[in-house]
Amino acid sequence: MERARHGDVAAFGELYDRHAPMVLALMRRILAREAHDLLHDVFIEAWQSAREYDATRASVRVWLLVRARARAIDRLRRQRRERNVRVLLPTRRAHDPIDEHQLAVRQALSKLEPSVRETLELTYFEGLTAREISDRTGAPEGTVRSRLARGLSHLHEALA
Amino acid sequence: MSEDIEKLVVLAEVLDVSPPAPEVRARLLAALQGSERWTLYAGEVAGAFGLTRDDALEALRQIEGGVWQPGIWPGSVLLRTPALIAARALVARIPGGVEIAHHSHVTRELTFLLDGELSEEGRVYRSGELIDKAPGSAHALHCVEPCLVVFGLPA
Repeated sequence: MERARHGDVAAFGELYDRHAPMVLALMRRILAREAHDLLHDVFIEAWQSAREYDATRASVRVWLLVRARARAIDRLRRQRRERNVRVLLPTRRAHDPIDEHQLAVRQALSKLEPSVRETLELTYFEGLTAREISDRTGAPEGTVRSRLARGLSHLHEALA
Repeated sequence: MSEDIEKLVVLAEVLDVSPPAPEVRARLLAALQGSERWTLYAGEVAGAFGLTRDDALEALRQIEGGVWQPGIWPGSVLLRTPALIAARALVARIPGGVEIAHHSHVTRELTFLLDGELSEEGRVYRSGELIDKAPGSAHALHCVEPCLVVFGLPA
């Protein structure tokens, strides 16, 4: 770790080899999927924080496991939120007439950033206020309002 | 160590451990030799220059592949991002051997060395070290090796 703290990428690679299997195992235990993607993110964040690591507070393994657990739980919560939203989305039945406007809306929605899309969906499909979305997603109320404005503007342009 | 962390470590010991896919390691090391290389110093750069951590990360990622402009010292190039400009700071690459003549400071001046070796009238600074000059102070600098630094004049 001491060499990694001074920018030695090879030393950080050795640290990865030593600890990645257990870090991955922990994240697999929390998340059924996506653990491999998150493994990369956890080690990038560890690199970005390596100079703040304090050996007197925790071993490298504990330091990495605590980070990995926090990231995996964040991802799990986001997956749950997205699942809740998907359940509430109206689905078109096979015999429904094809509504070109509805199709265009769905296509435009699919191109939005996930956080913007979630804000629009929570606003329009669940009728939540900016304050309620803020409480549910953890994003500041001002961020929710700006995401809503950005999403509406994008939809307006896409459907013009 | 808190009780929660102890539980986590004990639980981790009994997990079914298997090696990650080799491509994850390859992707990680490629990132650390590319755009993430200098993000190692994000915390210190953010703290020294009054940037948010995200702004510091963004600026440090620009070092590999960002748009550089000619600087005022021979052979030097400068990199600015909106957040660095707002913080009255910039990143500079200065060739080895360049002398920065003796000068005084009206305001505080910070120089964070990301890479290389910089000599300040006999005292040598290396990567990860900060030179903090108070208003009214004076010094001369010599780039012993090619230097990559963040300069700033905090308000």
